[in-house]
Parts: sequence; C-alpha cells; structure tokens
Amino acid sequence: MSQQQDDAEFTALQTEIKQAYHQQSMEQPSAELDEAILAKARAARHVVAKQSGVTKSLWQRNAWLFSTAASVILVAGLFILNPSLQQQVGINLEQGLPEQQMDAQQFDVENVMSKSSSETIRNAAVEQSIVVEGMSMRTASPKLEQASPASVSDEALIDNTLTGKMQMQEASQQALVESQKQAKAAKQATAAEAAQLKAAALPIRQQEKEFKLMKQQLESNPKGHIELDTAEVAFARLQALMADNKIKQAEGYMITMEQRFPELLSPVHPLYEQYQKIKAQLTSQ
Amino acid sequence: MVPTLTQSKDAQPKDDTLVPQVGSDEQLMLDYQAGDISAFETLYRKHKGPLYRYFVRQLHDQQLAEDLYQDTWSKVMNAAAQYQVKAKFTTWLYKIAHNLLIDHVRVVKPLDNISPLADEQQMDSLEADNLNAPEPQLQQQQQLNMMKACIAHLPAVQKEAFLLNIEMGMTAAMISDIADVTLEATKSRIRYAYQSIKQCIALKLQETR
Repeated sequence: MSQQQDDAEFTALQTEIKQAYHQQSMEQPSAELDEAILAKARAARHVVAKQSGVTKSLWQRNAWLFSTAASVILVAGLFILNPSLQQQVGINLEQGLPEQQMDAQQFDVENVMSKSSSETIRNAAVEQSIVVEGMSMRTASPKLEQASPASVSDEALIDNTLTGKMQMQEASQQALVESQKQAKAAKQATAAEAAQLKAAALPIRQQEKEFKLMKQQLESNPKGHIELDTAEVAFARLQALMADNKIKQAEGYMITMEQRFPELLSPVHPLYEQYQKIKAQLTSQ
Repeated sequence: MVPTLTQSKDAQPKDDTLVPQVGSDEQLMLDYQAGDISAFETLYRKHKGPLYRYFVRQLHDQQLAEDLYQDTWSKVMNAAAQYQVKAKFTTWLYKIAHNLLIDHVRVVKPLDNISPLADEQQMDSLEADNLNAPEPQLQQQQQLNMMKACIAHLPAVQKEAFLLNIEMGMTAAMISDIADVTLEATKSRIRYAYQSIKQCIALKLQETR
C-alpha cells in the first residue's frame, strides 16, 4: 500500500519537475557547429555508401567462382591444344586408353617388323640375337608396365600439378631409352657369341645349305654388294664363289670382306686359317 | 570506441535485427547509410538539442562539451557503414556519448568534484536581468533558475540518469543499458535525482523568503 503511494507521489513529482524543466530556455548548439557537422556528414556520405557494399560488383561478389572456372578452362584448354601434355599425363583423350601401354606394344611390334624386314638372310645367329633382343625387351617391358599403371592411376589426378606428370613422363622416357640400349648391347654380345659358336660347331650340312643359299642370293645380286652382317656369312659366300670358280668376283669380294671384316685377318679368329687358304689360292693365281 | 548495440541487456531485442518503421530514427540512419544526406539532417535536427545539453549540463565546460558533441556525431558517421538495426537509435547514440564522456572527463577528473560556477554565475546574471520583470514572471523565472542550479548540484551519475530521463523520456531500462549499470541502480538514481531537485528548490525558496 505504501509502495503504491510512494510510486504515485514520485509520478506526481516527476510530472511537476518535467513541466518546469521544459519551460526553461534550452541550450542549443551554435549554427556554425551545426553547419560543420552537417558538412562533415555530406563529405562522409560517399564513403558510407561505398563501405556499406551497395555498389559491390558482380566480379567481387563471385570472385571465387570465377577464378575456379577460369582455372578449369585454362587446364582443359592446355590439354586439348597440346597433345604432348596428354602423353605426359598418360591418357589418350580420344580413345580413353593409357598411351604408354600402347607405345610399349607398338615398340615391340615395330622392332620385330623392322628387324625381320631389314635382314635379307636368315642366319641362326641373327635369329638368336632377335630372340635375345625380344627377351631383353621383355625384361625391359616390366619397367614400362610399372610406369603405365602409375600413369593409369594418375588419370584420376589429371587436374593436379603438371610438374609431377612431367617427372613421370621423363622417368618413362628414360626407361624406354635404357631398354633400347640394353637391347642393342644384348644384341651385339649375343651376335658375337653366336658367331663364335656357329663357326666352331657349324655342321657340314648346314654349311652346304648356306652355300646354296649364298649362290641363290649372289645370282639375285650380281653386283656383289655385301649385305651381310657377319664375317661367317661373307666367308661362306666367298667359298661359294671359289667353288663356282669365279675367281675375279672372288678377288673383289675378298677385298671388300677385308675392309668390312678386318677381324678375319686376326689369327685369333676361328675362320682365319680357312680364309688365309682361300686368300693364298686367289693371290697365287 | 563505438559501442555495439548487442551489448544491451534489457533493451536487447530477441531478433538480431529489427524492422524499422518508416520515418523512425533507425530508418533514417539506414537511409543515410544508403547515401541519403537529408535523412541525416533530419536525424541531426531531432537529436541535436538534447545531446548538446547532455554534454553542456554535465561538463560545465562549453568548449569541451562542444568537442565531445562533435565527436559523437563523427562516430555516428564513421559507424554508419556498419550500422545494423539491433536496438533503438537513441540508445546507441547516447551510449557513444556516455563512453566519450567517461573517456575524456571522468578518468581525468571526477565530475562530482566540479563546482558549477558557470551555472551560478549565469543564474546570478539572470536574476539581475529579471529585476525589472513583472512579479509573477519573476517568480517563475526564479524557480527555473533554482531548478537549473539544483540540477547542476546533482551527483554525476544521478545527473546523467535525470537528463536522459527528462530530456529524451528514456526509461530506466534504456538508461541502465547506456550507463552500463543494473536496472535497480538506475531506478534509484532517477528517484533520488528528482527528490533531490525538489528538496533543493524548496530549500532555495525558503531562503529567498
């Protein structure tokens, strides 16, 4: 009861003082002060409008979206315009197959085809070298096959950095070069070994067959160009010329043989003695 | 430092943002934010007198009061870009003014120790001017001058609460939010201020008789 009475008294007091307060003269800021503040407000208006972000451009609002799209277009454009990048990544975009596996298979096929077409005479040693070469290629092929799964797994990471792909491509190219070198070295080594073995233990029947083959090839190649790769075959052809009593041709062929196969003049060579005999026959006549 | 309106307790709205009414202070502020200078002019004319007196009647230093008054409006302009309607504009405006007052004056010199010489001198001069006025008007003018002198003698915290209540019609909740004190303390300050003014005027009237 007393609380309500106090509140009523206070409300009456408040009203009385308020009425009296608002009857008095009220201080106001000077006109100069008003003008200074309003001028400042006018000057700050442009800043306020800019800072509030009303005029934010479309590019600024979607900066992240645009930058992402531009990056994707750039990478895709590079892949489309530059086929070497496709190889680096290991993907043939048109066929959707890993490029390096195809390359390895084509390399094997082309190697065998080129060898078979370039060799006019089927020699056992050469055949063996080809077989060994094929083996060496097979031994090298796992490297390629190791590289190709890596490239296949990289298909999912096409949009990753190109530097990693460049490194992978370089590694695969190095593997290819190394395999080619190994193949050549193996070919040379096996050819020499096969020649020695053949010369030492060549059966007489096989020599006769080779003589017949040489005759046929000489007839088909009257100019007498030596198209053989081994001294043994050349020596067989020389023997065939001597057997046919074609002395002049045999003399010319012998000179060519010495130029091409100087190892025949070495006493260590297994055909040295036989060659010297034929040479003595030719020079004595 | 410009206060954030989310600091308010009693006056804090439930929603993060309020929908301002057309022509309200909050809408005028948003219009100024969008670049409408006339909105700011309207807002300024509406609040310039009470805000000016808020400083002048508490500081008794005309130059300092004008400086702080100008600083308050500068802060309003600078904060306009980030302004969001989360409470009443007047609460925000006087919170800025209160903080400036605290920063510039109370830290250096407590207001309670300031002697209101300027008001007394002004009152004396007014009394001298009113000697030639008719008797009823003279009595009324004397009472007004007594009230002004009594307000000047109030403690600083009571004076601030009284001025905010009588000038702007602010409730105790709004004042407590501005002054950052409890609601009960603010109610007490307002009540004591009115009672002190009444007693002061009665005392002065007895002295004159």
